[in-house]
Amino acid sequence: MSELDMSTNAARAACAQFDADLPAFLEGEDRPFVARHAAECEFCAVVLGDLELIRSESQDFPLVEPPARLWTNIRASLEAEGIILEQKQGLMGWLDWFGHAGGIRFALQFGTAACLLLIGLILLLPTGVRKMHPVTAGVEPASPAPLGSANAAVNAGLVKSVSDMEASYREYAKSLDPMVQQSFQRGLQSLDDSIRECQNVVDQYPNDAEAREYLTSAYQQKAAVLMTALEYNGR
Amino acid sequence: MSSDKKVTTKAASDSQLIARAQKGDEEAFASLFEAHKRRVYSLCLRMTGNVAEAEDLTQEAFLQLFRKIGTFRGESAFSTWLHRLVVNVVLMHLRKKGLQQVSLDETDPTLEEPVKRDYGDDDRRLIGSIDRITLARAIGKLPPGYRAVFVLHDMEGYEHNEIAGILNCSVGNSKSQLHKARMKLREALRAGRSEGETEENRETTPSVG
Amino acid sequence: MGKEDKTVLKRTPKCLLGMTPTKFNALQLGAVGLLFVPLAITYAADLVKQEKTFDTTANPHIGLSNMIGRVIVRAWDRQQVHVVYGTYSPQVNVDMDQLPQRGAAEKVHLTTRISDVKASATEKTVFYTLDVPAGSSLEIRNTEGRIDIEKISGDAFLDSTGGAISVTDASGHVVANSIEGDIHLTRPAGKVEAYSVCGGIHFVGATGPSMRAQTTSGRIIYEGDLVSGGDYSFRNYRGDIDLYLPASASFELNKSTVRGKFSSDFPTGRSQATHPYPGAHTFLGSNISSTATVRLSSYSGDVHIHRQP
Repeated sequence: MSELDMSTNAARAACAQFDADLPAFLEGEDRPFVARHAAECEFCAVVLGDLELIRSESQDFPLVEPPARLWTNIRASLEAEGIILEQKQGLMGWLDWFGHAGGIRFALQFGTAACLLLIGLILLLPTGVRKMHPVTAGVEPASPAPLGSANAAVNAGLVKSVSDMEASYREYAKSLDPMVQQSFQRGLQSLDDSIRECQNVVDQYPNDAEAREYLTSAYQQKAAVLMTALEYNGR
Repeated sequence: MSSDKKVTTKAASDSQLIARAQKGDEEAFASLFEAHKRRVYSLCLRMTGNVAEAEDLTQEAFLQLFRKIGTFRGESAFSTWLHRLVVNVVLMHLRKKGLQQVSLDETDPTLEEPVKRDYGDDDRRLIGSIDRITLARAIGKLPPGYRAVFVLHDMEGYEHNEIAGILNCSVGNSKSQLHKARMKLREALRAGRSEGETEENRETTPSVG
Repeated sequence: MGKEDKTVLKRTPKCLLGMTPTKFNALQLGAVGLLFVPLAITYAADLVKQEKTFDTTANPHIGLSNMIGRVIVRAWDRQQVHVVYGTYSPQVNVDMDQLPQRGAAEKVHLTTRISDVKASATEKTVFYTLDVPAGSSLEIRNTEGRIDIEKISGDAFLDSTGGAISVTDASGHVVANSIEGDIHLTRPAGKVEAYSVCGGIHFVGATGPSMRAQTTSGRIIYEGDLVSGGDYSFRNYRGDIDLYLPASASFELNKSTVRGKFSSDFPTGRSQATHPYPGAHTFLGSNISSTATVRLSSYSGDVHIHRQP
């Protein structure tokens, strides 16, 4: 083998060593050969420079603006699923309904007249006609259910999310380690028992805010457990 | 960024918006969308390399977010939770498309294609000859598996142990795929530069092998 | 049966369960032998131990992800993380990673990797013992194994599905999640949030400013004094809540149980029912000078506040 051949082979071996150490060097590991060889070999120095440039340029990429139609589509889906409340609450809802200053003036006039009429009715009607709220002695009535959810104890979107996740989980659970599957199953069973218990009370007392809050909380916990189960990819 | 500032001054922090969104407040949903839409869309675009897919996935990610927002308990930062959700949505989509390259299962290193390098090649560095548009285009053309690791690590700042958990591979695998992704990008950028040159005609030396 | 037979039977000790001495001895031997079976099984597969030491900064972040097997994390006074782990199968490996790669690590990550999904539970088991700087922050996920943490002053996020979690002498912010496992917190000096579904949550000697616990069917127990100005929030569905407080405990109580019973060894204020359901009651009470705030909420479990002697 000629001297030139030996020299070429040695150079290629050095470049091959550089290639082998380069990934670790770029990850921050201690590879002194990489810097040493890059100082001697112009071609490998170019490779190193290029990769460092790619890495640094990629870190500060500007964000891209999505098309405006996205929100329209998302909003429509949320409304169809009942996740967005259909009614606005309180004063904002009234103001939106009328839409502009002229409407507000009309609303104020109408509202004043309605209040006066109501006061008149209360004062003039016989007391026996007035309905009493059926409460037990010494018991304060429970706070009314929030507007917009009068007929639904739990947000429909949350119930649907939980139902969808449960369907996905039933398929996925077959692939889980039996021990892990049992743990999740027992947890979900406990939550289902709580949901059933709260739901029974809500069915009897629909305006019971505390029971509804517990019921919602139980669904949220169940969603969290299902999410943990679905994201579990341990082997 | 001006619309983001508007959201911040008008509404409140993410936690207040989330609390309102959990009660079905449309304005809160809209504000959360405004605050995070560019980050989500950019991530979807970078991981898919396709505008139409990125739009669909952004929409899907936000719908999932708003459906699940009742389950957010504030244990982690909302942006972290959202980011993870978006990555999962994109990966599910890529896997459904049956793109095997997304799976980064351990492979026999002897069967893998070696990273090509042209020794004694064109010695000009890329610096000064590439721009972000060119780079973005090149990233979009990477195979899905390489692109996923590259985007997650170099662009989104995930660490290898996190990528390993997301993509269900080993840390070593994630590191080697990242290096290959960078080398592929380098190849693509250099090839693109050569095609663009009309004044000079340079020969490349045959690759070693 | 003749007289002599009755006499023999009378002498037979009751602990023999009506068996003859020979049969009972055989049963004893068999029972003792059975005790060794789990040990035999455990040692039948060879436990392979490995260890590694990382040089770290004063307050590194330690992440660990495991499936089965006990994880113990203890504080020591060196700026190093010393890992000892034991595996039973070559199908199970541990990925160890540090950042940055050179110099003192700011982050150390350990991940159990199982190649054979059909491996048995024993084969999937990995035991970890970590000695870490006291100021370390932790993120430990152990699916079916127990997690034990001792004397850590950094923040700790601990997650298990079926395993129990035990935290002793921690002074950072602790978040503990388990689905089935019990959570034990002994002398926590920082903020604590504990969530379980079926498991119980037990506080002993807490001195931190904020204790929060929530479980569905487990029991919540709090033993010890309350910190002046502290915030204590315990919420349950079907399990009971029991507080064991010294006579000098000073707190403002806000408690509600929809269907369960309430009792207290401490005087509470006027009751004000806010629930139409029979037996439901909410108490807004105070004891001596109100300093700590205690919120107890159970749906159908009982709530008891005991005065310790």
